[in-house]
Amino acid sequence: MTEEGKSEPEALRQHIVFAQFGELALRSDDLDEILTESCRLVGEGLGTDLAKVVELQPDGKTLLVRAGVGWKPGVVGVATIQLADDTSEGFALKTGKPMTSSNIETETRFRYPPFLIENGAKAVVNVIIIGGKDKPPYGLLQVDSREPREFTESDTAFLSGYANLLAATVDRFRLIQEVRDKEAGERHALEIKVTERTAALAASNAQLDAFAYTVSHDLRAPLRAMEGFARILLNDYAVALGDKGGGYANRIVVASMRMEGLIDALLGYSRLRRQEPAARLIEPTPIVQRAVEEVQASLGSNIAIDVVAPLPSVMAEPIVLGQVLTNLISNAAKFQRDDVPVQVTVRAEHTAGRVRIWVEDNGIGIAPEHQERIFNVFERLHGDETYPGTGIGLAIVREGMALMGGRAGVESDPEKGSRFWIEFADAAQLAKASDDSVGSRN
Amino acid sequence: MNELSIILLVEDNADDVMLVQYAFDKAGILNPLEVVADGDAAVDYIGRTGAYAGREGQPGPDLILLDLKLPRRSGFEVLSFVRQHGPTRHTPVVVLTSSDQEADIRRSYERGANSFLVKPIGRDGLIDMASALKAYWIKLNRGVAP
Repeated sequence: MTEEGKSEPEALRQHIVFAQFGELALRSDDLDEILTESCRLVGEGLGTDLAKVVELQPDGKTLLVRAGVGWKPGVVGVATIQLADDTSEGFALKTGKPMTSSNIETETRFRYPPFLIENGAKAVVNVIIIGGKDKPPYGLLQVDSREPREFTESDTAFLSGYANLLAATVDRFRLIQEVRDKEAGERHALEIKVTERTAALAASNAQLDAFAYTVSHDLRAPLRAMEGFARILLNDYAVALGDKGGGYANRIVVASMRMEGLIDALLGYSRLRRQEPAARLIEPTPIVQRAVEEVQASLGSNIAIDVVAPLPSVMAEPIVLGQVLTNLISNAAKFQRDDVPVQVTVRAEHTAGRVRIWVEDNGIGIAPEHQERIFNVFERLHGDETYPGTGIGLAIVREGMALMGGRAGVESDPEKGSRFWIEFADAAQLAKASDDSVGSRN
Repeated sequence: MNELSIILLVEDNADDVMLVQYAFDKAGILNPLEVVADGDAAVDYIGRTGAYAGREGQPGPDLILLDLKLPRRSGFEVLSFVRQHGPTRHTPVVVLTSSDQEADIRRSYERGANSFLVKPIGRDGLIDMASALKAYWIKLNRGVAP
C-alpha cells in the first residue's frame, strides 16, 4: 500500500526508521546515544545526513545543540541559538507546528544562526519535541539539507510522529534523572547529619577528656594531702597520738587509699567508654593466660586457675578483652568461701555459631535477684571488710563486651558458685553489619 | 650542682609544698628550697622581674621542680619561658604533677622538660622520690656551669 504523496521505498524507509528507533529507545540507557542515533535515523528517513536535536535551556530563551550528525566540530554540545520571534526555532516552539524553510538563502521570514550556514545547510525543518505533562517543551528536532529542498506534508507528518516518540523517550530519562537527583539530595542530607553527629560525638569526647583530666588531677590533690599527712602523723608522732589516735590516723590512710582506687577504676571505666575498639578475629588463649598471671600476682598467692586451652578464635580487641578477662578472673578468685579452696576454671564453648568463654568458680555465688544489677557501675553486694572492691569491675566487663559487639552474663547458684560468661560477636555477622553500614552511607 | 645550689619549687598547693619540704628534710636534702605559687611568680623569679627585680646578679636555681596546673600561667608556659631565657636554657626541669595523662607527658618533653614525675601518694613514696632526686640530680648529674 502506498501512502499519499510518498513513493513506496520512501514510506518503507520511514517505517524501518520508526522500528529501529523504537528498538534503540528500549535498548539504550544513554540519552546522548539515543539522541545522536535518532538524528542519524531521521536523516536516513528523509534522505539527508545533517540533523540535530536542540535542547531548550532552563532560562527558556536559549537552545543548545545537544546532539547531531553531519556537523563540523564545535557545534554539538557547544553551539547555541537565542530564541526570538524572527527565528524559525522560536516560531516552532511557540506554535508547536513544524516550520520549514526550503532555501535559507532566499528565506525572508527568519534569520538563521551563522553555524548553520557555515556547515552548508541550505534547507531546514523544525519540529517540536514536547515536554512531559505540565512541563515546557524539551526542544526541537531539526533536519537540515545541504541542498535547497521542499519538505512535503508527508515529511513533516513523519517528523512529528518521530519527534513525539523521541519526546516520550526523553521524558522517561527526565523522570529517572529527577529520581536520581532526589536520592542524591536525600543522601546529601544524610551525610550532613552523619557529619554533625560525628562532630557532636567528638565534642562530647573532648568534654569527657577534660572531665577525666580534672578527676585525675584535682580529686587526687586533696587525697595526697590526707594520706600524706596522716602517714606522717603515724610515723613521726606515734607516741603523742597513742593507740587510739594512731588508729584514727590509720583510718584516714585506709579511706584515702580506697578513694584512690575508686578514682583509678572510674578513670579506667571512662576511658573504656570513650573507645571504639575495632573487634577482629584474635586468639584469646595468650590473653587469658596473661590475665591469670596478673590476677595471681595481685593476690600474692597461687590459687588454682585452670584454663581449658586452646580457646577458639573470637571477635575482640586485645586490650579491651584483657581488661574484661582480668576483671572476671579476679572476681571469681575474690568471692571465695572460707571453708573451700578456690577453684577457678576458664573454658569456651560454641553456642549457635557464637563463641562463649566461661569463667567458673566455687565461691559464694550470687542470689538470683542480684544477678543483673551486679553489672552496674558502683554496684556492690558486700561490705568492704568482707570483700573489698570498687564496684566497677563487672561494669567494665559488660561495657567492654558491648563495645566489641558481644555481651556478658552470669549463671549462679549460691550453693555451688558462679559461672560468668562472655559471648563474642559472630565474625560473619559483624562483617555483614559493617558492609550494611557502608552501604547506607553510599 | 652541689648542696648549696638553689632548688626552685613551682607549686600552688600549700599541702604539696609542705609534703615536699617534709620529704626533702627526711631525705637529707639541705639545699635551699625556694617556692613560688603561680606561673607568673615563677616567670618573675626566673627572669628577675616584678617582685624579684632587685635580685640581678644573685645565683638562679640549678634545678626546677614544676607543677603543670598552676594559676595565672600554666606549667607549660613557664617551661617555655625557662627554655627561652638565656641563664636557664640548660637548667634541669623536673615536672612534678598529679597528671599521668599521655598528652601532658608528651607536651612536657616537647617543651624541653628533663624528667616527668607523677606526685607519689603517701609519706614513704614521697621520701623515696626525694631520695632519688637527691641521688640523681644533686649528686650524680652534671649540669652546665652557670
